[in-house]
This record gives sequence, C-alpha cells and structure tokens, in this order.
Amino acid sequence: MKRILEHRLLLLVLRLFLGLVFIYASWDKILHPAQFAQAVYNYKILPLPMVNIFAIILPWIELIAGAFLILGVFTRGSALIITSLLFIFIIAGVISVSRNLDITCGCFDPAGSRRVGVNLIIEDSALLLVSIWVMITSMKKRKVLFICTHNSARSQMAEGLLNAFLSDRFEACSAGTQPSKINPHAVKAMAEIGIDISSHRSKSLEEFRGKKIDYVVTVCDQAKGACPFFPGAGTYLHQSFADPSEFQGTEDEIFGKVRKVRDEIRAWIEETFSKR
Amino acid sequence: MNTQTVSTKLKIVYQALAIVILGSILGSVSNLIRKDSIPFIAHKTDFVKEEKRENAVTLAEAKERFDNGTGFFVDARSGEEFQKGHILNAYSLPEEVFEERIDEVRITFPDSEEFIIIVYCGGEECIASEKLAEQLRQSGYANVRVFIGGWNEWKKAGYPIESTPE
Repeated sequence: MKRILEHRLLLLVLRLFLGLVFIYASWDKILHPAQFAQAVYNYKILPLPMVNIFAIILPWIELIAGAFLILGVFTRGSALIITSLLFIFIIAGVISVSRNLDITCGCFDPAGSRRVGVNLIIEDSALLLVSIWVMITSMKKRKVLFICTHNSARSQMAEGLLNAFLSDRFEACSAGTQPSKINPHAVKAMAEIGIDISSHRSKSLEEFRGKKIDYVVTVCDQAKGACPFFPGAGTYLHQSFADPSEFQGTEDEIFGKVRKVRDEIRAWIEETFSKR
Repeated sequence: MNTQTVSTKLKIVYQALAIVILGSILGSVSNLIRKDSIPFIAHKTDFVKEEKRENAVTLAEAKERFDNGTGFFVDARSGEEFQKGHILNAYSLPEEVFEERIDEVRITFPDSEEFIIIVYCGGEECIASEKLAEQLRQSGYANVRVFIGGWNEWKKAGYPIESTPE
C-alpha cells in the first residue's frame, strides 16, 4: 500500500517538474519571437514559410501544456503533447548533429549560447523518458472496490455511478462479505438516471482477494455492524450510507428511500473521486 | 468495456488537439497585438545568413579596437538586458528608442573611418545587431560593423564588462 502511495507521489512530483521545465522553456521564446524564429531557421529543417508560424505557436503550446500538467487539467493530453514535442526536439537535434550544424539550440533562451550537441540530445531523451512515464501512469485507470455486506444495493450503485461518471480514470467493482442478490429497487433507481446495472451480480469479497486494488471503499453503515476489511489496498475510504435491505414501508416508500441513498452516494462519489 | 477504452484514448487525443488549437489561437492573437510581432510568413531577409558576414567584426578585432579606442560599442539588446550586463562603456540603443536617441548618437559618435561603430547583441543567433546596423547605415553612418559573437562571446572571453549583480 505504501508502494502505490509513493507511486502517486512520484507521479505528482514528475508532473510538476515537467510542467515547470516547459513553462520555463516557453517564456523567453514568447518574449523574443524574432530571436526564436532565427533559432528555428538555423535548424534548416522547416520550409521557410513555416518557420515563423512554428516560432509563434510552439512556445504557447509549451506554456499551455506545462501549465495544464501542473494544474492537473487535461493531464493526459498535456503529457501526450510534451512527449510528442520532446520526440520532435530529439529528432531535430539528431538531424543537426548528423549534418554537423553548429547552431544554438533555442531551447530555453533563444538568444543564448547553448549549442545543439550530443549532450542536449541526451538531456532531451531523459526528459522524454520522464514524460512517457507520466503519460502512461496517468493513463492507467485506478481500481476501486466498493464493499458492503450484501453487495446488493449500496456498493452496486456506487460501482455503477463511478463507472458511469469517471470511467476514464477509474475502474470500479464491488463485492460483499455475504453476497446475496442484487436489489431490484437499486436497479430501478439507477435506471432512472440512465445507468443500467441490471446485469450486475452480487459478488463475494473472496473473488478479489490478492488482486491489486488502489482504493477500497466501505459503504456500509458502521453504526449497524462491523465493516468488512480488505487487506492490501492502496487507500482506504469509508462513508456510511443507510442499508436499503432494512428499509420499511410500502414499495413506494422504500423506493423513495433507495433513491435518496442513490443521490447521497452520487454526491459523495463526485465530490471524492473527481479530484483524485 | 471495449468501447470505453476506445473513447478514453480518443479523449486524450481530443485533449491534445484542444491544447494545440488553444496554443495556435493564443500565439496568433498575441502576435497580432504585440508591438514586436513577426510576420506570419517568413521571408529570407528576416534571418541572418552565414554568408552575409564579411562585414563582421571578430572577437579579436573587437578587443583590439576596444583596447586602442578605435571602436564605439553600441548595444542593440533591450534596455533590461543592457542593465544586467554589457561591454564596458557600451552605448545602449535598443530598437524601440532608436528614433528618440539618434540625434544624441550623431553628436556623440561622429561617422569616421578610423573610429567605427561596432554593433552587437546577445550572440551569434540574434538579429537585433544586424537590424540596428542597417538602421544606422540608413541614418548616414558609413562605418558600421557588427560584432557577431556579441555579448556572449565577449563575456565568455572574460573581457571588461559592466554589470549589475542580481
């Protein structure tokens, strides 16, 4: 569990690092477009009419991708951009070195004296590795396991909600200590908001033993009894919701209460997972 | 499940595209409104070509003229960069203030074959010195030459400078 936390921390640190490098790199180029255009021209790779357009736009793309990477907005898209840019820079560097061009790199300070050479290609390659790692790691979906006693209503709804809203970042599943049957009220309540969980089945916690889970979320009512424990997860979260199997009253009254639980779970999931 | 993975990958491509589009818009708009904008389509004359350097001053000649006082050094970089550091006794003449200072320049530096004006900027790849030299020629100076290596080469050689410690 420590390993996963460190993983996330490392991802954050490298994201901030890459973002800062690219913002820093963009700054002087934005301030001195003519000098940067000259640096681009010196590479003699782009056809002349494209040199200025490239010099005008590239620094802004660097700035935006760097800022987004730091802010955590469009993280994966930004990582993809930065990876592609580094790839292009490396190719440009290799071409220049193989042509024996003695030119300034225009990397950080377009008027600076830093020259294109093997050192530069090595540095860019190191950055490329970091950026590929950031891209792949932030693309990996994190596994979330929702647990309650029966895996019949609460954990099932939670699974359906997380998969419906944040499926690009999370992969949810659910289980219970005493699996029974999926609750028809829960299926109906979810269908009402356009999420089909009718094909879900009630699963035992045993099915998930030994699997790699990033988040274990217990959604049982702690006041009513012991919550199950699932060892080996990265992060544990707990939130109590009322148990629909104990709701009393007419069908309509029970359904109303299930609907209320659904909305509570939905609000909690959106609040908790959209930031993670 | 499968369709979800596909849409996730597409989403990343969309994000990347959005960043490229946003960057293109911001870059173009800023280039339209800023004072020191560059043309969107480059012309060959915008750039310093290696061949066009026969009129250039080498580091050795620059130092020689510095030592025996036969060259006036004129700094084409921005005032801010000049403040940070420049060749000792150089005169700051960035493009923005050229018009307002040209009269002062005429009084201070007479055009003379013996005492030439040596224009420099950051280093080999900057074009400010070439531009300034052209402006000075148009203002009537016949003896203007560019010190291509500029500030970087001078400083690296450890020659006399004036600088503001940061």
